Amino acid sequence: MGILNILRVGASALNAQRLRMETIATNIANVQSTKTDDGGPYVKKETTFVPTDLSDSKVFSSMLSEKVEGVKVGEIRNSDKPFEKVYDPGHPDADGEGYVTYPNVNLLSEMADMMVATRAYEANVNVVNTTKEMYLKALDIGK
Amino acid sequence: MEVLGLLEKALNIRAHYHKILAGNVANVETPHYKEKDIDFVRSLDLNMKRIEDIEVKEKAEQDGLNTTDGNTVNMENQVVKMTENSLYFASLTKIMTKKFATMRYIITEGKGG
Amino acid sequence: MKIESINIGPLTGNAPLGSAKKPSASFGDILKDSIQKVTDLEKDANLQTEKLTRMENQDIHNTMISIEKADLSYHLMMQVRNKIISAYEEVMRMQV
Repeated sequence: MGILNILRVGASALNAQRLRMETIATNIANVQSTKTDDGGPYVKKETTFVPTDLSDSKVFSSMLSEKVEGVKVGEIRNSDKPFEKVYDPGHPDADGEGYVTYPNVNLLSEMADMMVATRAYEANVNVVNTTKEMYLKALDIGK
Repeated sequence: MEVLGLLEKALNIRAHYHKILAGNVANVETPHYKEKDIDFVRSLDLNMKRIEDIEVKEKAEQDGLNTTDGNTVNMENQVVKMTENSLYFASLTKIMTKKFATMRYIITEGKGG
Repeated sequence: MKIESINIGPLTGNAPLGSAKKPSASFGDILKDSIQKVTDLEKDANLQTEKLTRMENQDIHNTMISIEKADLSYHLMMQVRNKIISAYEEVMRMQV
């Protein structure tokens, strides 16, 4: 893997972590959304990360002749976690028995995920910066 | 020595590419702004009168969760592309400098500037 | 880049008497061979530079090393050439 391919790997990770942050942000914003267009409460979105070969990427215009393994978000899917039911007959979205179903978003675990995503993002920024410094050092050969 | 001509052209294209990338970054929040990109390797082989005539491709789809303002700029990719571009620029400049230094040395018969 | 040939006429001369059948290379051949090697190093550096410019090759360290090799070999060649010329001049200055 050439030294500049490392930059692409870093970029793919930054993209994946940013997408993760977007889903976390959506989850946190909708922690109390009891009614969506499909009916029912908001369902927490989860992301999976999948290692990918970046040689097929259309993002960078040069030729990647060898396998360069980055990461991408595999899928954004709805979570299977159980919903929380709260007894509140006065609520506009209460069902027949007076229970309101709240989204299966746990604020604390979203906060924890957010910290992980942030740290991963920072680490990948570090990868890009360190690669750049290494490369510049190589330019000093024969200085 | 045609490698110098190639280096010069590559440097010109890279400088222009930097402007394009900076424009993308500046417009990261502009509604309906489409991310611009160039095909560097193809541009090297084309003959253009001015460097601004490089064909610029625009990216139509967004990455990530969709926003509704029509903007397609991907910030992370732009920054990494800028890093890569500036690294190439630095290396091409360095190589050119070394070549000229060698030539100068030979011209002055190695006896000093 | 075409390298101007060094004027090596008086030094190669004809082979010394009686050594016409010697297999050893003459001084002129050695010089020509060395100059060829310098040119080869330069060609290799140019090739690697072109690959780097076209983004076919990301090994900046190898490219820098090959350029440095070519540069050093030019330096060495120039110094050798200067020494040869000054040796020649000294010989020519000798009173016969």
